Formats: sequence, structure tokens, C-alpha cells
Amino acid sequence: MKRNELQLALAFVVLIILTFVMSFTVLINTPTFSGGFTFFSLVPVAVIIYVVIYMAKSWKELLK
Amino acid sequence: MNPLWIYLAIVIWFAFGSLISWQARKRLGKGVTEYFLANRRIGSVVGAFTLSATVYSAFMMIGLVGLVYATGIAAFGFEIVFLVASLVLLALFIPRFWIAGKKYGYVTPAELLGDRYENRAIAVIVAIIFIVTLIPYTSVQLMGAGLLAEGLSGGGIPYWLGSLILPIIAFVYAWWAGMRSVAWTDALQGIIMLIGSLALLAFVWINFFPEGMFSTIAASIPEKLKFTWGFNMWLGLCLPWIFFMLLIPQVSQRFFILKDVRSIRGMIIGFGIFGLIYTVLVTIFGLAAAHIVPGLEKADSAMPALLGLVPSALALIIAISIFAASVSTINSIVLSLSSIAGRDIYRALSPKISEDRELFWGKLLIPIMFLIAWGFAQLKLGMIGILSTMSSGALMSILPALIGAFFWKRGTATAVISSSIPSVIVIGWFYMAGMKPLGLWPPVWGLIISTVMYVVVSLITKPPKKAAEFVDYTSNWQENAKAIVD
Repeated sequence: MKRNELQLALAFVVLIILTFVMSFTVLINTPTFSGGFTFFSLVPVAVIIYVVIYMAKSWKELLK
Repeated sequence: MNPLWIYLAIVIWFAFGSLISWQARKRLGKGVTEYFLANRRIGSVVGAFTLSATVYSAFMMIGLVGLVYATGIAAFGFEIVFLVASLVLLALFIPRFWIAGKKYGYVTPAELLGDRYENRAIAVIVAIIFIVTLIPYTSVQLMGAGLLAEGLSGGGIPYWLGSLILPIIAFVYAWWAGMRSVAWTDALQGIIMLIGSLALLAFVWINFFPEGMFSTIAASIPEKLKFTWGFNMWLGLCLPWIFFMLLIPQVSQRFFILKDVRSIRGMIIGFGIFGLIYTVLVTIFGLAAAHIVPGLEKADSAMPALLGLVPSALALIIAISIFAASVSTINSIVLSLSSIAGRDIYRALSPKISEDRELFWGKLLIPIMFLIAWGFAQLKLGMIGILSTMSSGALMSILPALIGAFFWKRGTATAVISSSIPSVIVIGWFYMAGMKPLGLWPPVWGLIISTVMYVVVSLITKPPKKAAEFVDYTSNWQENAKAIVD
């Protein structure tokens, strides 16, 4: 596994832990749209941007 | 609604799909790779749509709407965990599957495992696990269609008939021209799914929430906006969902069909955007239904109940979009399973058979699979969402073998056999007996067993000769892809 792939794999682990921790700490007590709904909507937006940047940088040679 | 309108809408939708399928048929060449993988020539747009429409099925508009209706925002989180995990895993695994397919000519994920571990029995075992676990998953799609048709027609279309129409349509698309037909019609189904959902959102927002949807829901059902699942339920449902994309063969087989690296990028980005839009929409429908039609006995009836309140023409469009979601999933499942039956089971019994014979036997399984799934759907087992995760839960038994195939040169064939079989038996047993030792769900136990067995047995047995070559080749996929392009 290359270094950039390790970073991606690490991001994967951090993300999963983050969603678990947030769910059972913050979101369990927020009965509003600015709680769980906003959090769970923003996480994939951030991941899509991250993965797009990852592919653009890591696969640069093959995307020309 | 008058059943005649539903039948008419289905005929029009089927006619459009058939036209596309007919175009695909005209380009159909000879051979197994052509039929099951569209000759590995699928581009970005069709790739993204066929992946999205295959993954997002009737489970979303019936099962996930029901889960949100019953349990609130936690169900949204569960589906989002799946989406974000999938995006990362796709970026890591699609290139490896793709380059392995180009180099070694794999048609099925079971074939990849059998070849990497240099043991044909592994391909057979994995193929059997795929077939057995995907029957309930296929039947879930048919259950969704049956419930919807029955609810929408006020019982005019009985459940058994509603759940029978879709497999017939899916059979035609899959049988006629294989993967190219399925992928192209999936693109149509994906567009219908999005258009139908957006139309429903606009109607519900304007007609049921004149003072603002979010503020009304927050005021009337605030408990649905809190995270209410227990940790064990969250873990038990999320764990198989996180790895769903790698484990389900109709999905991982799509990693072989792409023509180049640009198509891989397009598939991943397209899937992410489609998944985010569709998941948010479906969640809003679940919350809206909890406000508009509270107190339903069956949570899975939330969407049919919501459709009962919208004008007939719109309800028909939504119903067709849900049928489209079902068809795009089941034709992919059955096409994938038929290729697996031909390549990994029949070829194991008769290694010298011709490609034509393999194709013949593979295709023969298509109607048989549909019949079995339809029969299973008539049992109406449990909530749709739970049944779906049960299928992917059982596939956790092969997860260590799959990851080890690409990343661990020490992984051995004996380890795959001794990890996957006990694990799938334990998962199936725990599910059927309703057992959750220490509160942990069956997939968690299955993953623990398969991981421990795979690692321990690999360390005390000798890896196959091909392991190092395979891991090195797929790890250096960029250099190797460049060589192919050059």
C-alpha cells in the first residue's frame, strides 16, 4: 500500500470513529435539524471533496 | 388507484427500457466477457449510473423510509456511514479489481479469489455463499414491489402479482443482451429514480408544509431528530453496510467492466453525488411521513401511505421510480449470479467446457433464481431494512479473504476455507435463532470468527505461489495501467 493510500485508509478509520462518537455523544441530545441531519449531510460532502482531490493528485498521470 | 393505470404505466416504462435494451442487443458480440462484462468497455456516465442504480434499490424508498419513519435520524446516519465508507473503499479497491480483471481475465469476484489463492474449491465455496445469501436480498426487492403495488391499488393488484411483474421485466433486460443492456437500462432507471423523488419532494413540501418543512417537523416530532439507536444495533447494522460494496458480487463485478482510469474516477464521483442526493431525499420522505401519517402499524407502509395522499399521476411516477430501483438491482444480481454459476460452479465440474456451454448454463439459472426469490418473497419475512442487512451480514464471512487477497501475501487457501465456512454457518445460525451473545449482532461475531481463523491459519500454512505476484501487481496498479494504456 502506497503512502497516499495509507492516508486514505486512515481517513476512512477516522471517519467511521467520528460518526460513531458523534452519534452517541452529541447527536443523541440534539432534537433539531442542526444536529444529526446537518452532521450526516455534511460528512459525505466533505468525503466526496476529499476523494476527488485524492484521485486528482494520486492518479494524475493516468488521467491526462 | 385503479389498477389499470398502474398496469398502463408499467407497460410504457417497460417499452422505453426495451428500446434501450434492443439497442444494446444490436451491439452484443460473442463470448462470456462480452455478455457478462460488456467487453470491459463501459464509460464514466453509464458506469456511475449502473453502480448507483444497482446499489440503491427498493430498500431505499420502502425500507429506509420505513426505518426513518420508525426510528428517526439514526437511520439516516446508518445510510450515510455506508456512503462515506463506500467512497473511500471504492477509491482503494476499484483500481485493484479493474487491473486484476484486465491482466488475468476475471469475470467474477469468486473467480478472482479462486485464482489468487490457487484453489478452485474457494471459487465454488464463495459462489455458493453468494447464491445462498443473495436470495433473501433479491426477495427484498420483490417484497418492496409487491407491498407498493398492493398498497397503491388498494388491494386491486395482489401482493403475489405485484412481486411477480418486476422479475419478468428484469429477466427480459438481463437475458436479452447481458451487462450492456443491464447497464444502459440502469442509467434510465437511475434518472427515473431521481426525477420521481424530486417531484415527490416538491409536492410534499408545497402541500403539507406551507410554513416550512424543517421547522414544522422539528416542532411536531423532535424525537425523530435525535439519535435513538443503541450501540449494538448501530454496530450490527453498520458493520456489514460499511463493507457492502466489496462483498456483494453484482457490485464488485462492476469494477471489471470499466474501460479506463477516467471511467473509474467518473464512477466513484457519480456514485457519491447520486448517493448523497438520493439518501437525503429518502430521509426527508421518512420524516415527512412520520409527521403526515403517524401511527402506522407497519413502518414499511410509510411510503405507500404517503403515496395514497398525492395525486394519482404523481403517485404513479413515484411508484415507477421505485419499481425502477428494484429492477435495476435484481437484474444486476441475477446476471451476476448466473455468471458465477457458469464460471465458478459449472466450470469447476467440467473444466474443459466451451465458452458457449458456460454461457448456456449460466443463463439457464436466470429464470430459476427469479422463481426462488419470488417464492421467498411470498413468506414476507421481517422488516425490509433488516432483511437487507442480514444478506450483507452473512457475506462478512469472506471479508478477511477478500481484503487479504489484495493486501496480504501470507493469506492462504486453507485459511480462506477454514474462516469462511464456520463464519457463515455461525452468522446464519445466530440470525435464524435470533441469538445475540453479549448483545453483539451476528455479523460482528461472523467477522470476529472469520478474521481470527484467517490470520491464524494463514500463519501456520504455506501461501500459494501466485500470492506475491498478485499482491505486487495489483498494488502497483498505476504503473501497470500505464503500461496497458501505452
